Formats: sequence, structure tokens, C-alpha cells
Amino acid sequence: MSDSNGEAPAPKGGVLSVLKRLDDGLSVVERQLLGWSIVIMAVNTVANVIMRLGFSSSIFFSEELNQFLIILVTFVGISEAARMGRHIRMSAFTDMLGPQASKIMMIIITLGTAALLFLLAWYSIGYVSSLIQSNRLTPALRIPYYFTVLIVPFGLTVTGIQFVLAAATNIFRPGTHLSYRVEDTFSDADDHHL
Amino acid sequence: EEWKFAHEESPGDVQDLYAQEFKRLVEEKTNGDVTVTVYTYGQLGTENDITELTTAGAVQFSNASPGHLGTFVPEIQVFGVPYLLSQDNEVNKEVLSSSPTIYEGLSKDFESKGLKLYTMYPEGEMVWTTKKKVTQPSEFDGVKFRVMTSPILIESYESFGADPVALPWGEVYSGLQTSVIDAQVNPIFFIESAKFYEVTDYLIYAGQQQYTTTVVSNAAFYEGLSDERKDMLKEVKSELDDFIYEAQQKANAEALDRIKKAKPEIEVIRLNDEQRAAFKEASAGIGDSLVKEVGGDTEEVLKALRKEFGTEM
Amino acid sequence: MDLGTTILIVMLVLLVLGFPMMVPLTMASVVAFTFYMPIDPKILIQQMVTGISPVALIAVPMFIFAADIVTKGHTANRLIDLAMTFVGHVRGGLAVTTALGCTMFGAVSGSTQATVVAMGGPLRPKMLKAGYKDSFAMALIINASDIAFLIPPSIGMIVFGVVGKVSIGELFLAGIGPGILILLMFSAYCVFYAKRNNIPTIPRMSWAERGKAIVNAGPAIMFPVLIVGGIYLGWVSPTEVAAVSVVYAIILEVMIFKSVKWSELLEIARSTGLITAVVFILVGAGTTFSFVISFAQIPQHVIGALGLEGANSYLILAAICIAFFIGCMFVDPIVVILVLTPIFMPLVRDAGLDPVLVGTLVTLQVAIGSATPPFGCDIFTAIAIFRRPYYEVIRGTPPFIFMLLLAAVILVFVPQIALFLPTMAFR
Ligand code: NA
Ligand code: NA
Repeated sequence: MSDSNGEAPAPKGGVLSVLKRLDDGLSVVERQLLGWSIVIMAVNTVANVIMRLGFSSSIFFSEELNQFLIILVTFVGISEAARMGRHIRMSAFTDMLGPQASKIMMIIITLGTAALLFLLAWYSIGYVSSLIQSNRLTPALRIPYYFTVLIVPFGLTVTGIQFVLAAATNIFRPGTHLSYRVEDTFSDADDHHL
Repeated sequence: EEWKFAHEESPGDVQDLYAQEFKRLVEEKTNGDVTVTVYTYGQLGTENDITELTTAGAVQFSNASPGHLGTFVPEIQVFGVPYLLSQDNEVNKEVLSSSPTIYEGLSKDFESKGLKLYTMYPEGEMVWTTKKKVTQPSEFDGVKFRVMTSPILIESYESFGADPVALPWGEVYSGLQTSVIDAQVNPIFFIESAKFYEVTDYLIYAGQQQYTTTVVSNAAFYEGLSDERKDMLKEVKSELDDFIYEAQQKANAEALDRIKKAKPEIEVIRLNDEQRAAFKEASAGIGDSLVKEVGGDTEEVLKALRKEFGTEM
Repeated sequence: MDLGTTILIVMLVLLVLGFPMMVPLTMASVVAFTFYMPIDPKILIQQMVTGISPVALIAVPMFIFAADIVTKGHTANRLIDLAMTFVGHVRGGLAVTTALGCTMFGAVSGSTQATVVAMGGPLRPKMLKAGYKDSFAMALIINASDIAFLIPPSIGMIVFGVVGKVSIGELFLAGIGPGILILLMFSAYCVFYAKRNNIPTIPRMSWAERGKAIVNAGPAIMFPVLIVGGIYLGWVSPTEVAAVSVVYAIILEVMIFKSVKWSELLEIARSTGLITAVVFILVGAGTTFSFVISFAQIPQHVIGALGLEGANSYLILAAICIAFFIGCMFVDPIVVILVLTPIFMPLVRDAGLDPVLVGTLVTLQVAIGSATPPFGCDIFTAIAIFRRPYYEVIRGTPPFIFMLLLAAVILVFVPQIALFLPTMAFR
């Protein structure tokens, strides 16, 4: 499942190219976070098994660490997935549209999705601040509970921005684009991999 | 007017008995002006979620038990200290339903989190189900004991001599079956409904703890009620104090009968005073380490409760 | 308009218009929170986080990681060679090999799509060369990959176990019987198809060649032994076995087969993380949606309206199968499990039905739905990797869907096919 399929040439021009470089940097950071989170999850879980079987004890923060990592992976990953045009969607209807109509539809979809994500980001700031007020601690590590969800508003916002960029790419460039990097070419079937 | 009451157990379990009777009494006493909708476990998320829903005012009443409530109101963890409660259940009932330490002291800690502590009641003794006979701390050697991931519980079972193991709730049955773990602890009605007795050989009553749960209400909601409604709720609470005390004893006794019938070879062991004293002594330091860990007014609460329960060291 | 109707319309419209699937689910929740339920919308985020937090769900990225490693490596080809040396010479042998290969790969992978990719890639060209029609080859690959959902590990079973509070270990064992039943039905159909279409056979392999294939594939066949054995012997919980299988996949592909380099593992992990996020945001959105319908007590109304309360247990099983089948025709299977399971579990408990049997049936329906038009993630995967038009990909599926539905009916009336193994092991 190659992501290079239909990759659009980098947008040129001042603001866009600065944005592009910023986003490239962010993408590198996000991909590193994703990879290492998955690796640490595996090491953490296996280490817990070894501790239990070999040393009759267990790593008490093991579950908590895994929960933290899975929240991190989810909310970091959705923005990288948006950047790569990898979110699962049902395209049967839009596939039947002509190029002009499908372009307009894609602008509506990306802008609508961005608006929803910004709204959710706003809600999640409310959630995080209510957790900060409550002083809740996690049961095993006894760290403030809000630490584990700080990534949520960040991830939702960055993902929203990705969809705005996708909308802008559709408006200013020819063709239909799933994201500002990925054009909707043969079909968007690449996005249905699990 | 609709009040929502969310609890942490399945239909027919002790918390559900309480919630259903609460519903019946409230609806009767308000002539149907108030209807109570009861949500059982899983419908609105986890235990933590329903407490958050209560603080947010989305539900008006909910059960919250020390296991997870400790992350909201840390002082409540004193109820996890082994041998804090009396071995005499009449004393426990009296203290849990009217203790000034709970309803005046601890209650403030709840209010600071936007919760009104409505009531507290025991759901029955926490019973060990084990694959190995254990009557003294030394026999816990090498026993992998599943506890919830709460430092106080972990320390308690370490002090008893066991190897505490964390395992998600859903994996406890198969964990016992396949010896990933050798023991777990729960009230007897729960052991029966989760069928843990099928995969263990001993039911051990060590008297270390009662499963105590609280019913909390949204503080702003409660304060905003008319005096008439508040009086009604107080009346309901005192009627339910007696109701739930009997209901939980009956539920646990019936559950034990069903277990014995389903598995006659299971050995039920009630530790005698001397044996209990050994576990009590082994875990004597847990109260102090909790005080050190949580701070605040934990020390005073613990001291006052020990006095009320008559379990001073 | 009442809440139920409104959110259903919002969801369907946004879904059909082609919005990313997290949008219809969360938008329906936003509408419910804004116009129908006087609750702080932060609860919506709380439910989303809660949905992805259960510890057992860690098994999903771990099994995906293990599958990603072996998909990149040699496991698939060695399993195909093994199946080929044993059944290649019978009439329809290559088709049977495909069914058998998908089943074996299913024991390595928890996802049907991974199986479509790993098995479909090498097997479809072979089948075309042997004279099978493309529509038959693609339909076989898509539907045989469904068996991966039933044979442990299974992502669908993990999610069902978490949401329905059912033992994942028992569910895993319960999937094996039905998985083999379907394999046998498909194999029979393959033989019949090859006879009718006069597909030539290949020569029988010698026992020496078979021995060599067994040795080659040996470490790969150890996967299911490790997964089932590890759980059964009590070394590891079903959650942990997923992480252990990652270690095993690394030993296999990096150290034994040397088909994946150490340096590639981090890149594979990144791709696993990305796929995990795409799935888990749906898990979170699905949990929020399911909170909304629980809070509004919609299940009680629906079940009351359908007259299912206290109904005959066969009727309840039929209702569950139909609901999941239809749901999966339109929406991602994980979402369907998240949303529908809480609706039906109280009914299942009241009727005294075995939740493990229900979980197996649900998993089967979900697997069927993934390969059933109009929408199906296996179909989309096949379109993507085979680069064939939608219509051609689905043209050959009806006989397979018929067999799968037949398997569901058999399972309802002979539940022992599923319950035999968990009963022996755990009860
Ligand atoms: Na599988
Ligand atoms: Na489908």
C-alpha cells in the first residue's frame, strides 16, 4: 500500500512552501511518535509477561502506560492519516460523480470534516480543563490524569488543519485531492486498508 | 422530572437492588412527579465515566466505589485499609449509615469535587477465592493474587505475603482457569455471578475488608432541590439503610448456597480470630503508608474511623 | 423529529455523501448533545477516550504489527507452498490451496484485509494462469479471507469481548470450529467448480517435497500453536499473546527467514501506528455514538417495538444475525460491533444464550458483511490491490455468501461446532 501513488507535486509559493516545510517537520515528529509508541507498547507488554512468568511479579504501571500510548497513537495518527488521505470513507457515491462535481463534493467533505474536528477540539479543551480542575491522579503511576489526554486537543486541531489544507488544495489546484499531498486518482480504495 | 441513577453492577446485583428500591421509593413518595431511570454497568461507560457524568450533572445519582473513587477523592482510600471495619456487622451498618467522620468530614472532600455524598453501604465481605489453602501469611508465598491497580491494595497483598498481579477484569476468569493468577478477591455475590468459584478450590473469609460503595449525587443538583425534596431523600436514605443491609446479606447468603450446590467440593474457610490477627498484624503498616502517600486529612479520618469502628491498633 | 430518527438520518446522509467514517458517527453525537441531551459536550470527548482505553484493545495494534511484519516477509509464500504440496494435485487443487492458505494465514493475522493482501497478491496470478475465471478467483480470495476473522487471533472478537464483557480466550477457541467448517464448504465448492469448468490439475508432489515444504513452513505454522497454546496453558492472557506474537513474528521474519531487516521494523511500526489510529478513531467515535443511544434508552425502545423482549432464543439469534449482517453491508465492522453489541447483550443475557456462541455468530456475520456488496472493506482492499473494477470484483461472490449464510444457520442449530473447544478447555 504505497502512499506515493498520486502524490501531488509540492505546492509552490511563499506562504504555502513555508507551511509545507512546517508540516513536513510535524509529519516527521508524528511518524516517529507513532513508530516508537507501537514498539514501546510491545516491549512493555512482553516485559510484563516475562516479569510475571520469570520473577513472579508484575509491572504495575504496565496497563497505564499502554493506555497512555494508545491514546497517543490514536490522536497523533489521525492527523498523519489525514495528511496521507488514509481515513476510511465510503466513496461509492462520489465515485459516480463527474470530475467537476466530485471536486466540489470533496471541498464540501474536507471543509465539513475540518469544521467538525475544530468543534471537537474545542470540546476537548473543555474536557482537559475539567480534568485539570479535578486534580485526578492515575491509579498506578499517580501522575495527573490530564497528562494522558493532553494530546487530544492537539491531535484534533492538527487534523482539522490537514483537512483545511486539503480543501485549499482542491480549490486552488486542478483535480480532486484527498489531502494536500494525495490526489484521488484511480480510486480511493487505498484508503480502505486496515 | 427525570432523575438518572447510574451504577456499576449488572441487573440483580446489590447496587442494582439499591437503585431499583431507590426508584420505587422516590417515585412513590413524589406521587410520580419524579421518575428515576436506572442505568446498569456498561451502558454509560466505565466506573470513572459515571462519576464524571455525575460531576458534570448529566446523571443525578451514581454509585462510586473506593477502588476507582480514590482517583477522584483520595481520602476515600482509607476504606481499602485492611481490618479497618469491625468484625461485627451491626457496628459496620451503624457507622457507615451515620458516621460523623463520613457524613461531615469526608463529605467535604466530595463537595470540593462537585459531588454530594448521599450514602455509603457495605455490599458484603471481600472473600478470597484461591487455588491453594491459605490460613496464615506464610502460605501466601508464591501465590499470584489478582488485585486492582491501586497502590494500597497492592501494598496490602504484598504485606499479606502474596504476589500481587494486575490483570484486566475481563481476563480474571480465564486467568484463574489457566493459572496466570492463583487467587482474586470480591464479594461473594460477585464471585457467584462471575463464576470464579468454578476455577478455584477455596473460599476464604479473612475479615480484612467489606466492599463498601458510596452513592453520590451532583452537588449543585442536590443543593438546588427544594427542602421538601431534600427531606424526602433523607427519608428514602434511612429506609434504604435497613433495606440494603438485609438485601446484601440475603444476596450473599443465597449466592454462597448456590456456589455450594453447584460445586459441593469447594472448601469454605472462615479464619478464626487468631488467624485473622496474624494477617492484621502483617498489614499493620498499610494505614501509615496511605497517610504518607495521600496526605491531606487522611490521618485524622483514619484515626476517627478506627475509633468509630472500634478497631484501633 | 425524535432523537433516534434524527441521528439515523444524519449518519446515513453523511455516510453516503462520502465523509470520512468518523464524521457521520461523531456528527450524529454532536447533534444529539446539542439538540436533545442537556449535557456538557466534554462528555463526548470523555466517551471517545474511554472507548479506546480498555487494556484488552492493546491486542489490536499488536496483532496488526505482527501481521504487518509477516505480510512483508516470507510467511505467506511458505504457507502457500505447504498447502500446494498437499492439495495441489486434486481437481481444483489451486483453489483449495487458496482457501487453505487464507485459513492458515488467518491464524497469523487478526484482520481479513491483511489476509486479502498477503494471500491475494501471490495466489491470484497463479489461479488465472491455471485457467480459473478472474471473478471466481477474486471472490474466493475475498471470502476465504473472511475465515481469518474466525480463526484466532481476530480483531473483531477482541472488540466484541471488550464491549460485551465476554472472555476473549473462549471466543478465540470458539472461532476455530466454524472456521474449519467454512474452509470445508469452500473447498467442496472449489472442487465442484473445477470439475464443471475442466480446470487442469498439477502433478502430485512426492513426500520428499512435502517434507521440505513442512520444514520450510514449520516456524510459520507454529503461530497458531503459540497463540492458542499460550492462552490455554496460562502463560499469557489473550491481550499479552498479541505482543508475544510480535516477538515471534520478528524471530520468524528477521532472524530465521531473514526477509525483513531490523532497520525496517520501525518503519513497519509507523505504518501499524497509522492504521491503528484510523481504526481506533472509529472505535472512539463508535463509543460516543453508543453512549448517545444508551443514554437516550433507544435500545429499550427498539427492542420493545420489535417485540424481542422475552422472545424465543432462535428469534433473538436471527435478529442479531440480520442486524449485524445489514450493518456490516454499510459500515466498518468494528463500528458495527461497537454500536450493536450493547443493544443486544441484555437480551442475550435474559434469554440465557451463551455469549460465546453469540460472539462467534456476530464475528461470522461481520466477516460476511465485510465481503458483501454494496460496501465492504475486503471488496475495497481487493479493488485496490487487484486494480479491477468494482463490478468484476463482486460478480463471483453470491455462491460464497450463500455458503457463509448457510454456515451461520448450521451454527445456530449445531452450536457445538463453536462451543466444543472452549467447553473442553475452559469449563
Ligand atoms: Na485470525
Ligand atoms: Na459489506
